[in-house]
Amino acid sequence: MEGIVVKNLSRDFEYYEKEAGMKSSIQNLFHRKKQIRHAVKNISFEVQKGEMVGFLGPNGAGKTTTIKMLSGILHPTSGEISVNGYVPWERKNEFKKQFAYVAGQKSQLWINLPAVDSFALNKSIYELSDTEYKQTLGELVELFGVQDFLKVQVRRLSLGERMKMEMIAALLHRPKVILLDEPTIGLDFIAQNNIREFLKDYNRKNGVTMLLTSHYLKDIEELCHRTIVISHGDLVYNGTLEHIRNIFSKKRLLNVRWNAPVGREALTRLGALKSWEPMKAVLEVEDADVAQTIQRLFEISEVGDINIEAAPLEESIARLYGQEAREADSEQV
Amino acid sequence: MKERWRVLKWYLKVALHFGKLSLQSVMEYPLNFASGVCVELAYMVIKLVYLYVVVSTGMKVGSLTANMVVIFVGTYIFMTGIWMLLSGVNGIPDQVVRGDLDLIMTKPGSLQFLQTFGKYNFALALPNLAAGTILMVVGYRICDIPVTPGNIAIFIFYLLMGTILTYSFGLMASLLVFWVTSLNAVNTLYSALWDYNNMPMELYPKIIKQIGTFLIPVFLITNWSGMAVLGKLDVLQLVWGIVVPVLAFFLSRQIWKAGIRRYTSANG
Repeated sequence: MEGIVVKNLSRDFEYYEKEAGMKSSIQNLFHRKKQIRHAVKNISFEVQKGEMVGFLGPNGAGKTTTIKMLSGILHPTSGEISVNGYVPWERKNEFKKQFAYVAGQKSQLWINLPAVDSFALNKSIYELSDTEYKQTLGELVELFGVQDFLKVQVRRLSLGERMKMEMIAALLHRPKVILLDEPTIGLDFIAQNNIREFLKDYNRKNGVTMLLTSHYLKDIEELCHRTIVISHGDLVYNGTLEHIRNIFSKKRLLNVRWNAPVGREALTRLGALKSWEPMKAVLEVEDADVAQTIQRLFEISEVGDINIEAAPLEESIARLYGQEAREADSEQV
Repeated sequence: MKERWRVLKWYLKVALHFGKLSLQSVMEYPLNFASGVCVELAYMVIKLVYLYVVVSTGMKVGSLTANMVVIFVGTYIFMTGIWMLLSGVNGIPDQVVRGDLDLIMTKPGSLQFLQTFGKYNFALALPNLAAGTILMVVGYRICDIPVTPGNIAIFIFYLLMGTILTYSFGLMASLLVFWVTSLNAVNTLYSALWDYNNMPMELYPKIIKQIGTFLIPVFLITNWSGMAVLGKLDVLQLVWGIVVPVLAFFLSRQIWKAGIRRYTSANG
């Protein structure tokens, strides 16, 4: 089956603890109490062929561990994975030729040489013909607009330019599955945007299956229709981002601007006043009360402009990471 | 058969490509390359001074004449060059600790091959390989060893066995990083053992010879090619010189597999 299937996947890591001081150091010489950290706990999900799915979670949630198991870098403690019909940790050549792993903090480029030398090495490793290589390289270089940097030593490139080169190196063999682990980390706004645009375009044109982790919610919002949220190793949500907003936020923000000054007191009884200035205010009200509140606002004074916003998505996601998520989880996953 | 030939060609092509890129990399920084060469040349002068003393005084080392010693010192310097060349093997501890095997693991082909033949240190290797080759040829000539295909073949064959041992022992030492975090003590010990080869094993007392041949068979790395071509090895020793590299390679392969299973990557 093409795409990604994960069933009851778990991964534990062993570690030990040490109290402060010499006494415990000496004790540890003779006996170390082994501890187990459950980095990933019995998670299951699927990604269809050609689908682009976001993988969200706070630091230490188990995102990278899961991506590394999907790439065959780590063996799971238990559970099953199928990536395009292959078991990743068997590391078969046929599998490795079908996928690419891109990590924002890892580099496959030879730092003292121009990126084009590393591309040529990948051509040898992936046994690409001259025609395939030239065609794919040409397309990727054009999509990223990096013609001018191909002959520049990698160490002389900016972080954004280097990341684009990493992407090209990873995609030269035209993988069918791409696993991206924070590909925009540390990049400025423009570079992040370029990478996003590229991924969107590449997915649309090539129908490639993509799983993307990122700390930047905007990456996920712009690229992925579906999002999987993991927290403390547990899968806490699997669905659209919009739905996350709806689970937690039954409230709306009304941004109002008047043509004449309005007193603070007149507004406090309508809802929670988030901010106030004589000519404008932000009011938080229950979803069900929006229509009635707007009507009252118009009654208070002549409204120049008004818009309705949902509560920030970050707030909902943050709540998902916490205890409330577990409760929501039982209903939504 | 056709598939095996294709795979072999792939490995050769990729190894050559790695070599080419390693060379290109050092050429970007010629001063670094030159300083590396200078350091190795300084070490080599010390080794050559010992050799000069032996040759100029006509000192015998066990059953070996001073001229014969030139072959052994040449082999030792050559093998040091091989060891220096394999920076992919020497770099394993750092890469494991930093989690840098991640991307290599996702590439087609044997991970052991991609890691251990992925980088070469030409600056440290070239002076040793060049000087070692010159000394071996000079030693061969001044010992009046007949230049026959058989002699050349047996010399090169045991040189190859020595290379396999160098690779396998070096790999096993580096792989200990999967079980212990710091390899300083292991590296120092391995360097000390390696330096036992800077003179022919004939120099050492019998017990040391036995240990270096059977228990920790480092003497096989630099002594067997010279001893074989000089007719100083019996059949059992000749066979031992084949069995040990094959076993060491097999063992290093098993340790590699066991180590990789323990690989947890960084921030895993």
